[in-house]
Amino acid sequence: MSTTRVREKAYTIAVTTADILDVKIFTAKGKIQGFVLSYRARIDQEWHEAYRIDTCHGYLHEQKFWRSPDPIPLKQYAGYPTQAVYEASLDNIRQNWKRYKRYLEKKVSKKKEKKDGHNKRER
Amino acid sequence: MGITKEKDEAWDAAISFLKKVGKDPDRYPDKLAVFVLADEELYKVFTKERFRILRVLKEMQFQSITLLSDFLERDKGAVDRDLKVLEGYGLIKRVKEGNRVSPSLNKEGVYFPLTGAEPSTKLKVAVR
Repeated sequence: MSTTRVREKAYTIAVTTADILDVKIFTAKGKIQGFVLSYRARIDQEWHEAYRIDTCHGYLHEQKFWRSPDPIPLKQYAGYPTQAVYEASLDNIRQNWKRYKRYLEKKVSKKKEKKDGHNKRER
Repeated sequence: MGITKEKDEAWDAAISFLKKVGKDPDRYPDKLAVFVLADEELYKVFTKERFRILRVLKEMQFQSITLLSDFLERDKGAVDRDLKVLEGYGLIKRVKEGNRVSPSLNKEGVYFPLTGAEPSTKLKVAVR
């Protein structure tokens, strides 16, 4: 019984000095079998992952890190070829990155305010 | 408005490149750092010293940042800051081994796309 070798590609795409796409593509026989697309933003000199969409664990799901790391299944793409889902996922990030970044900035800012407030009280 | 347009073009170029990889993955290297940054931003990332770090790590292995800084004859703090920047762009990785941190290259190469979005969106310039 022959087993198909799955190859992995790992790319970091610096779109700006504050916006990066981390991409993993799993391929076999020249075709995409699975992928991980992750958008991260640099806020206050630190990189924070904002959004991820991937096919790991056998199903397509997204994670909106400004809310929680819990995976949200994307059932509307079930049955579509992985290549098409990959391209649609890229388009999704292209269309929504600004919004994801805004939400993440709010979260980071709230976290920082909470931490600063806690530090003041300790003094 | 100018900066927004540049960012839009950078995003279009990034997505366009990734779609090309998806269509013919075997044509592209396995581990790549791709930069679609504007020139002013590229110069901020790729300073002379950071290039030097990448070249040195290509040729040699260092078991700690201290050993790397000694070789480069630079302040350890400054080298560590440069490594942090390079790590942020996926170019190097820092592996903790006990109480040492060993830096090494994380990608096969760096790619600067010279083509942006699909040709139909580009202005055509007549050449006589």
